[in-house]
Amino acid sequence: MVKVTITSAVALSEKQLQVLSKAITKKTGHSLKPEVIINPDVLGGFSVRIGSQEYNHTIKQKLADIKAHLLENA
Amino acid sequence: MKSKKMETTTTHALFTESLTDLIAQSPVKTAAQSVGTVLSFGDGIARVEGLDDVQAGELIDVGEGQFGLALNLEKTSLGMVVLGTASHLKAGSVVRRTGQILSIGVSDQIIGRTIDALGRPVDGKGSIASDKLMLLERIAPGVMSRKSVTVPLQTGIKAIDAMIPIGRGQRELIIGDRATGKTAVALGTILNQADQNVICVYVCIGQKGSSLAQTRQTLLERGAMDYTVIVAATAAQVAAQQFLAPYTGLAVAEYFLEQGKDVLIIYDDLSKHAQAYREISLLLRRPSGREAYPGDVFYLHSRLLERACRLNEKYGGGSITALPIIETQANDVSAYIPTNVISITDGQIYLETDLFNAGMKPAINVGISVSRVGSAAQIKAMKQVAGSMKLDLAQFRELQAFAQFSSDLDDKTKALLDRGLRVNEILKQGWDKPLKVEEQVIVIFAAVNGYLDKVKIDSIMAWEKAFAEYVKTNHQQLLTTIATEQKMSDETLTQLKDIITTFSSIHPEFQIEA
Repeated sequence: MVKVTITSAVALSEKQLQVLSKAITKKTGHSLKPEVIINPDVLGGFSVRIGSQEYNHTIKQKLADIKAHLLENA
Repeated sequence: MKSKKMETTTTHALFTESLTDLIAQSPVKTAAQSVGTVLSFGDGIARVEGLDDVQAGELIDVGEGQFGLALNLEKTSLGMVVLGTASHLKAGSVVRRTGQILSIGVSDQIIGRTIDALGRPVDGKGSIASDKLMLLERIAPGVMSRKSVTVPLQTGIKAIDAMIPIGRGQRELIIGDRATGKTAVALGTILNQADQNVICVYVCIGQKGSSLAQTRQTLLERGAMDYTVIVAATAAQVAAQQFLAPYTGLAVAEYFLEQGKDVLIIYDDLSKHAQAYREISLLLRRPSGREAYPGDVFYLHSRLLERACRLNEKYGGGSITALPIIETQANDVSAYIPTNVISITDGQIYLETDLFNAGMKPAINVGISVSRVGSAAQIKAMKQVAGSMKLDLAQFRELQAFAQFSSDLDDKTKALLDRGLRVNEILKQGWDKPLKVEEQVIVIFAAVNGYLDKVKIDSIMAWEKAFAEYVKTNHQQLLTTIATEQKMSDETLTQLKDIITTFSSIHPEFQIEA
C-alpha cells in the first residue's frame, strides 16, 4: 500500500482537501486516505508525497530554489 | 548634495530591478521529485528509505548544498555515502534524487586551479566555467582505439630517462617506503613538462594539508601552475572524497585527452586511496577480505589505471600517462595493495631508504626498477649512450662487495669499480633540477666513455655542473642539434669528444692528482 502525505503550513479547508484527494486518486489509481500534516515551517503552499514521489509546492521550497538560482547567476 | 542622493536612488532602483528580474527568471519546478527519508545517519553513511528508481553512483541532494553518493542499492533501503560533513542531516530528513550520475563540469579554464573531489574550486579564485560534463566512472578505451607507446615522456631525471624510460600513455608505478622521495620524483617530472606540451594533473589523496600547500607553492613559483591542475582530497576530507579524488583527476585528464592532448596524471598516493575505500566499504557492511580490504579493491585501481592510455589518430591521438605512487611498509612489496598495483602498471620505479640514507638521491634502485615499454620510448641519442650505462652499473653492482678491498684487486676489476662509482655518481640529481634530454645525453656520454675516470669522485657533481654551464655558454648549437636530430651523428660525436677534452684540460682542479 502506497503512503500518501499532504503537508501544509495551515489547515486546508474541506473543499481544498477534496480537490487534492481527487487529483491524487486520478494519479495513483487508488482511493487512499491521505495523512495530513500541519507544519508551519513550510511557510505556505502545500506538498504532496505519494510513496517516494514528491510534488513540492511549498513557499519554503520556492524560496530555496530562488536562493540557489541567485547564487548561481549573481 | 541633491545629485548624490539622486544617484544613490537610481543605483538602488537599478539594483532592485535587476534582482526582481533574476527572481522572475528562477525556474519553477512543477514536476514530481523522487524523494527519500533518512532512516539512520552515522559515520558518514546514511541509510535512506524511498528514492525509487535511484541509479547506482547517482548524486543525491541532501540539502544545504551538499550531496551524497548512492552506493549500496538494496531492496528496501539505500546505503548512501555523504560527500561532506552534512551536520544538518538526521533521521527523518528528506533527501532528493538529482538524476545525475557522479560527474564534474570541466572547461579549459580549469588549468591552474585547485579543486576538491567534487570539482569545486578550493583556491579562492572564483567559480570554474563548465563546458562539458565528464563522468567520473567510465569504461576504459577498447583495444581498437589504442596505439602503442612510442613517444617519450621526459621526466628530466637521468636515472629514469636513461634506464627506466617512460612513454606517453604508459602507467609507471613509483613505489617505496615513506620519505624516500616518491613525491619528489613526481614533482620533478611535472616541473620538466614546462615546454613539452603536456598538461599535468596532480591528485593529492590523504596527504597533509601543509605538504600540499608546499607543493602548490613550489609549482606556482616555478610557473608549473600554467599547465597543471591540482585535485585536493587531503587527510582532513571525508573518506568518500579521498575515494573519489583520483576519478575526478582522471575526468579532468580525459577532457583534455578527448581534445587530442597529452596529459600526465599523478596519484599521490594510492595506498591512502585503498585505505579510504576500505573505510567506506566496512561502514557499508560489505564483506572484507585480505588485510580487511573489500573484495573489489583490485578493480578499484585497475579501472582507474586502465583509463590511462594512448589513443590512435582516429580518436584524437592524445594520451594519458599515469604515475601512481604506493607507499610500502619496511620495503614489503609483497603486501596486498603493492602487488595489486604492480600487476596493473607497465613497470615500477623502486625507491629505497638505504640508498637515500647513503646519499644517493634520487634513491632509485635501477637494478630492480623496470619499464616494460623500455627503449621504444627513448630518442635514438639516449639509446646510444644508455645501453653502455646499464652494463657498467650491472657489472659495478656485482663487484660492489669487493670495493673495500680495492687495493688487493687486479687492474681490470679496479677499473670496473672506478667506472661504476663514477657512473653512479652521475645519477645523483637535485629533485627540482630537471635536465633536458640533450643535456642528459652529453653528461652520460662523458661518463660511459671514460672521460670521468680521472676525475675525483667527490668532484663529479661539481664537474657535471661546470660542464653543463660550459656547453650551454659556448656550444649551445650542439645541444640544439641533438635536440632536433634526436640522434648523435658521427659529426656530433666527434664535436662532443673535442668539447669534453677541451673542458677537462681547462679544469685540472677536478682531476685526480697524479
